[in-house]
Amino acid sequence: MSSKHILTVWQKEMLDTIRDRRTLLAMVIVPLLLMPAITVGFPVLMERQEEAARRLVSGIAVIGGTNSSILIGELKDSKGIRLIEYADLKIALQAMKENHVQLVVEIPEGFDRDMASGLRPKVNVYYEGTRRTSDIARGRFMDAFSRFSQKVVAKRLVGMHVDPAILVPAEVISENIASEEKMGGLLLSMMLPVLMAIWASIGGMYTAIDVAAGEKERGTLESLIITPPSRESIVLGKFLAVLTISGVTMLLVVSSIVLALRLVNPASLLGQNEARFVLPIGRAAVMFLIGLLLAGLLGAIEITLSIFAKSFKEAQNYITPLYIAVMIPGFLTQITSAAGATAGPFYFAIPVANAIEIFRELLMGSVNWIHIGVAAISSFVYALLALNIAIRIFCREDVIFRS
Amino acid sequence: MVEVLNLTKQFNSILAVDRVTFSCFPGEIFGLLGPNGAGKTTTLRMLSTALRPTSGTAKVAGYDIVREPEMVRRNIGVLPADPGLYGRLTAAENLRYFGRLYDMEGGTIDRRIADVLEMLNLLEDKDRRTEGFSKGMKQKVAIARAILHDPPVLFFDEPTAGLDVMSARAVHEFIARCRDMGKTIILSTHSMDEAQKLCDRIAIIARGSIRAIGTLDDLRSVSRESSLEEAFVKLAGDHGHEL
Repeated sequence: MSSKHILTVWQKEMLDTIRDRRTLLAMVIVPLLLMPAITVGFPVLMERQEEAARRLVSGIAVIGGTNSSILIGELKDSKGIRLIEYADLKIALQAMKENHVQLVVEIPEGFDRDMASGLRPKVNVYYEGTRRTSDIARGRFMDAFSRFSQKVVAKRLVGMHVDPAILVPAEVISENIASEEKMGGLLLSMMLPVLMAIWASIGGMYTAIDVAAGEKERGTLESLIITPPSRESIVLGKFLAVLTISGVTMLLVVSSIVLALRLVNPASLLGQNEARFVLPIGRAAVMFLIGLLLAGLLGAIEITLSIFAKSFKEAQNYITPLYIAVMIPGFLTQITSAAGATAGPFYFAIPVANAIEIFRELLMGSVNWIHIGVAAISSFVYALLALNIAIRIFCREDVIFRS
Repeated sequence: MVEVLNLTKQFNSILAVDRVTFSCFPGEIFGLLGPNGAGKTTTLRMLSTALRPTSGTAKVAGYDIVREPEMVRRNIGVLPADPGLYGRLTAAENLRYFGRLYDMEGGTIDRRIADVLEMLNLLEDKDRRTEGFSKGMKQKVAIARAILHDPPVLFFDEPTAGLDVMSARAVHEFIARCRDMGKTIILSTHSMDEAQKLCDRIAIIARGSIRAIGTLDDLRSVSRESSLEEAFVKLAGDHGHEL
């Protein structure tokens, strides 16, 4: 193995790949445009959606409104509720399906009378679980209903000469102590980590295909392997070119996130000054290093598949499923973290998932050096193993002359 | 000098090359003449160390292809059966890359590139990307790549396949000049004309084994045929002749 040969191969592959428009598109242009758009745009979009849903006055279809003047009175006094009288349940449900109303409430006949005589009449509420606006309408109705119940109970207690305050034996005061940064990071940490892992695989993908399967397709491979450099030197030079390209992609991705957050604060766009999302340079640097190690592992796998493939197209067929495979641990991380599961140190030895979890932690503002250390060392070892397989495959004549 | 001794290659159940033995000397063009699938390319790939022989060996420029493959690679220039180029690189960049892989110095590489492209009448196009080249021009760049490091031994695998008459003629002239410079040249071909025109000695190879070796006159006399084609048909179909 000679460093001069590795350098020669690396230089040639860099020149070759930089002249390839596809690489530049995948490596520079797309991440530079897409990542800031997602970083800033996604939280804004989500907040806007939620805001819009909250601003909407909930249309509640009422069937049998005349059966309870007390409940209707309470609903009419509530904010954000508009009542529409319907005669028929079927028609009301149809109206909800078509989103003319967000909730359907059915008050049975003799409701007030039954309640006064101590029976417990039932109110039927129908809602559309998949629609956020219907969910909000239900919440508003439940709030109004609970106020209505309290009033009725209070009245009964007063009638029995009991102080209604007896119903409240103690009070709860809750306060959110998560830092503003963490709250901001929570939104970003839902999407960015998986996207970063996907870029780690896409960044160097075309280069990986080009440097191995591309050589077979163009018929340059045979001329190359009968030159003096060892197979190790050739594979290492090619791998370093892939790593350089995906490293540049990771650098662009991380710095575009940092920059986007410096230039535009998604929270201020929404007029909420309390939440400030920031990614300090130190944490961004750790994020980049972990990203680079992940890119190393994925790049080595991509080169291995590419060496094995006969043609550019075949290599693409093998490598494309790789970034779907990257997404699976990504979504797994989301589920486990949403469930509130805390990952033990062993979790950080799982390839790909470890990097995604580290990205998430860093975005949330936490730096756990044990997690980072385990993830870094294990990713490095996996990358070396994958590279070793790539070299072995490159030495096999049945693979090199596969046709 | 190339000395091949009982060179054999087996791919699973297929015996692609079977105990091939011959020698080729400096200043000589040695032809491997045979139909497609006869084992010519596999033989050349073993001699150029791209494939490892199953048994037997060969000495190329004094180095053993099994024990000293790197030294063999330093002393050979090869025009493979499928000589591709890097299309996004210029002719000079393609050649410079290979010069560096052969550990040549920067200044020497540039001088050699100029000399070799001049010889091949391609100097004007040296800074053009090769993706726009005609097949003949591409073949010339591939030949330039094979001789850039001035190796004593050259292997040409079907050097004129798919070329037009003028390009093929230029390639033939170039190969003849290499012989005049004292290079040891092994050429594989399935063209009788090419073999007749260029080769000093010819080995007729069929189904992996050599059926006859000799000069054109030797082959004609042993087969008692007046044309090489007739001699070839007779010998390639026969069981083998010692000359």
